[in-house]
Amino acid sequence: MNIVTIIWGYTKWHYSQAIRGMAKIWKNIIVFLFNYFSIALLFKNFFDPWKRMTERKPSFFQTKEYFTASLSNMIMRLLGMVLRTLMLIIGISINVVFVMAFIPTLALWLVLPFILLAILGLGLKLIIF
Amino acid sequence: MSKISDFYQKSPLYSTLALESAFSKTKRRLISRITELIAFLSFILIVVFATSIKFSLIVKYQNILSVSITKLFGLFWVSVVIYILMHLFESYFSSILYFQKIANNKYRPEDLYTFSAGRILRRTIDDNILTGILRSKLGTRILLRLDIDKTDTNMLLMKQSEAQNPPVFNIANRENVLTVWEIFDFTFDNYPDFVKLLADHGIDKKMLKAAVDWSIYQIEIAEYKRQWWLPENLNRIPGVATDWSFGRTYLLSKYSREIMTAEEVVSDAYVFSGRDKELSQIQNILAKSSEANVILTGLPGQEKMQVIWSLCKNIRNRTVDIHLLDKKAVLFLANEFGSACADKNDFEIKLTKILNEVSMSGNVLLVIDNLPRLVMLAQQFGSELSEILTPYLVSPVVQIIALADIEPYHNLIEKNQSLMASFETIIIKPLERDEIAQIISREALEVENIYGIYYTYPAIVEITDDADYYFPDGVSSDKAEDILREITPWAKKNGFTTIGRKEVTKFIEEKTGVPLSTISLDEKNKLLDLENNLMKLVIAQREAIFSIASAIRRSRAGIRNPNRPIGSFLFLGPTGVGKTETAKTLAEVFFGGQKNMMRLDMSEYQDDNALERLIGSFENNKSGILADKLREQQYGVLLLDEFEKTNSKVLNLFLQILDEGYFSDAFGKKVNAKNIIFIATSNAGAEMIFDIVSKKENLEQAQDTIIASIISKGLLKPELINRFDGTIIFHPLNQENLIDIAKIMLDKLAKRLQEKGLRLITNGELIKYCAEHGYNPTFGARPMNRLIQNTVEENLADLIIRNKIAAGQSVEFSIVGNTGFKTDLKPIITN
Repeated sequence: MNIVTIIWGYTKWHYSQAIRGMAKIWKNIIVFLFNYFSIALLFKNFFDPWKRMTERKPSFFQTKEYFTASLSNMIMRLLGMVLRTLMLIIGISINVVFVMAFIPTLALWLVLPFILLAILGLGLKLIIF
Repeated sequence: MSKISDFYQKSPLYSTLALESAFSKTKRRLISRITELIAFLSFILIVVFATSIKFSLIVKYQNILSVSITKLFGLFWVSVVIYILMHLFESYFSSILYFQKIANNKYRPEDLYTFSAGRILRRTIDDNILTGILRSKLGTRILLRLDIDKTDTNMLLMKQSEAQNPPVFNIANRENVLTVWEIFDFTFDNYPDFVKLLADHGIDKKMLKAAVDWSIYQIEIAEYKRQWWLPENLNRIPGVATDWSFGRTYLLSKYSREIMTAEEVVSDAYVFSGRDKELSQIQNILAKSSEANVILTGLPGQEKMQVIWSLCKNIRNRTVDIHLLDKKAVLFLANEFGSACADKNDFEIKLTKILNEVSMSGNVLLVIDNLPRLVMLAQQFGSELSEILTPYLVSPVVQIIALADIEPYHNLIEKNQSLMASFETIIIKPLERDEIAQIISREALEVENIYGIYYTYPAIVEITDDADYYFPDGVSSDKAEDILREITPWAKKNGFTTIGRKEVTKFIEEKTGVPLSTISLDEKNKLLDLENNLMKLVIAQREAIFSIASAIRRSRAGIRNPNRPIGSFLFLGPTGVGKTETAKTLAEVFFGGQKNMMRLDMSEYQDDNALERLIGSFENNKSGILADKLREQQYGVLLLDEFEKTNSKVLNLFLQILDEGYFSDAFGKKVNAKNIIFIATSNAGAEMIFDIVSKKENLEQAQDTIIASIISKGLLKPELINRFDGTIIFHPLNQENLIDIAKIMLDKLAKRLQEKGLRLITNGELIKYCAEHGYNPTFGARPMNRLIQNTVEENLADLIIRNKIAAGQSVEFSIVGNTGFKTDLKPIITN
């Protein structure tokens, strides 16, 4: 069993495949969050009434009923739009935060072996001296 | 260096395998846990010590405490580093193992071998590849799946240490990466000891391959599930706001069930595979701009629903075509809907309302659980279903998947052109045996996790085969799954930790009453002594008894043809010579009681609707007598009295049953007759038998003449007679036989009296009297039973009622008359 083989294999992985893997995980999670908050669906049906709750409009000549139905349908559309906007803001914000977090995480990953070495050195120094 | 070892070290996978060998998963987890604990404890101590210094709690040891804090800090940081390192190693290992390799089989030629093959190569000694199998965890795991335990593998391994010049496993100049199966394949072809070990356990090459594939699948699936970040795994978490843009279906929800949240869709314990073709067909049809409707038809059972569950699983995992992504499948229950409708008007209004809801909802994929039922309901209400459905079926917003069993599909749907115009039909073919075994093996892994029980591959094969053989009604994959789900709690209850072939046969035996397991000592004696036991109860018919006994022995020894009944015999002979008695005795002696004998008087099945009464009627929704009897009891004797008197359609039915061991009832459901002994009796040719016997000719030699005369009279067709395993001629009874029969009958009566504390002394005089008066040339020995009842039993009843005889006393009869009535007998009572 060759310790050098392990360390060399690991180091190669840490700075190549692991980064690709991390990017892939990030992508998967972003797609997941996108689906989780139904972002595409909410955009697609942005102007639809809330849960498709609509009233059938009577003839234009039944003026009162016609306007009541129109008003009710409009309210449902507005309600749908407001709630969708809220959900879109939450979903997109979380997505953006997650995308942004990739850069510091990647930076941390790149320096992680050095940080670990430094902490190990510090720890050993504290124990020994 | 050996060639294999050299080959092993050349691969880029070597470093990962070396890591695995030095830092096995168990070791990595252990170190990780220990460092976690140390870090936690040192942190607590740091806090405690720092607090005591801060508040001067222990003034005397202030210095020691501050030094300890420094050391503990050191320990804390070192533990944290080791802990993180272990996790990094874990990621390194999983990532290489998973990302590039195992998950998608993305090995490159320069990898030389797969990870699993590498694990076997690593343990190989002196280029003897069998040692690699026997010494590696993976190799022994595969063998354990085949019910070959450590003792056997160790023995074989010891033998290998003495082996000179092992077969050369060629690893040079390979084009593809080496797989585990190639190693096993080579070993099977080149190591006779290995083949012998497998053969001793009843394993052939095909089973070995399946067990290898199964074990590799287990590794792959475990790795797959650990990867929580995979799209399929992430998508299991249901999203929010998915239904904000879709309408609600209030009325539909009353008569339907959600499929997307069903256990079969959500749980991993249900595996559906082998349906890719059907799934892609469904998706193509549903992608159409209009008339995007499918009928799934197939045998009765869950296979159609399995395709739906599978589709829903894919919708959930978002691995379907884009147009199905946010769909919600809802199972519309035709029966529940039908029972809630009062009349035609109600039926039509409700159904239209439901279809409007589906159309308005925008995301409902309507699955009708039983379209023929809905058609029938519409007919009952006097409504035309296609007229209600068509406007919706052609609309681009409604998508319907309707399920239909094949028989009613042909009878009710196919003929309905207007309905068929808007649907495309997909026939769900039953899965092949190997496909079912694969599904069962995969589900077994999930069941193992839940119940902590271990399955061997022979058990999986046994489940698959038995499901088909012992439960012919329905779809094999359903039945195999049912057995898998039932056997596990059963095994748990009976204290089994491993389910092997033996346990499965035991379970099936309990479930069906058909003995399958190894023959017990008691049964062995019963089998070997069957003739003698039968002859004690049936007089004179030696040949018949020998034929039956040998058929049963062949069946229990497992050498009979499994696709035919255990045995089928045609008993020819005059009335009252013991034909029925032989069948009864067989049920008594071998099948453990006369409850295992079923009887059909075939003279009652002469009319035109005889067949319908036996196999049922689809039109009248009535089940058949024969189908019911054989479903209730699939193991025993079926006596068909006066067989020749039934009509030709029924005779043709038996032609199939005797040949294939099953038949289909009026509903298209298979009925098993493979574990039945058929005994058909007939007194056709009785006169000829009398003639031959009276001329003192040999009856056995005249058998062909008798059969020829039956055929020439058109009583039975030659092909039917040939289907029987044996045609047995029962000869008329002579005086000696009658004496023996009288003895047996009186002994039976004596036994019954003994239970009441009375003793019946059967003297020669009484026996002779019964033999003489209990015989009739037309009815043979049949009147003897009646005679004993009218004379002996009547006299006894008188004595008991008049209190002339009490428990403990004996009674004997002397004969004083010759009329055949009770006054012929005079009782003599002794103490």
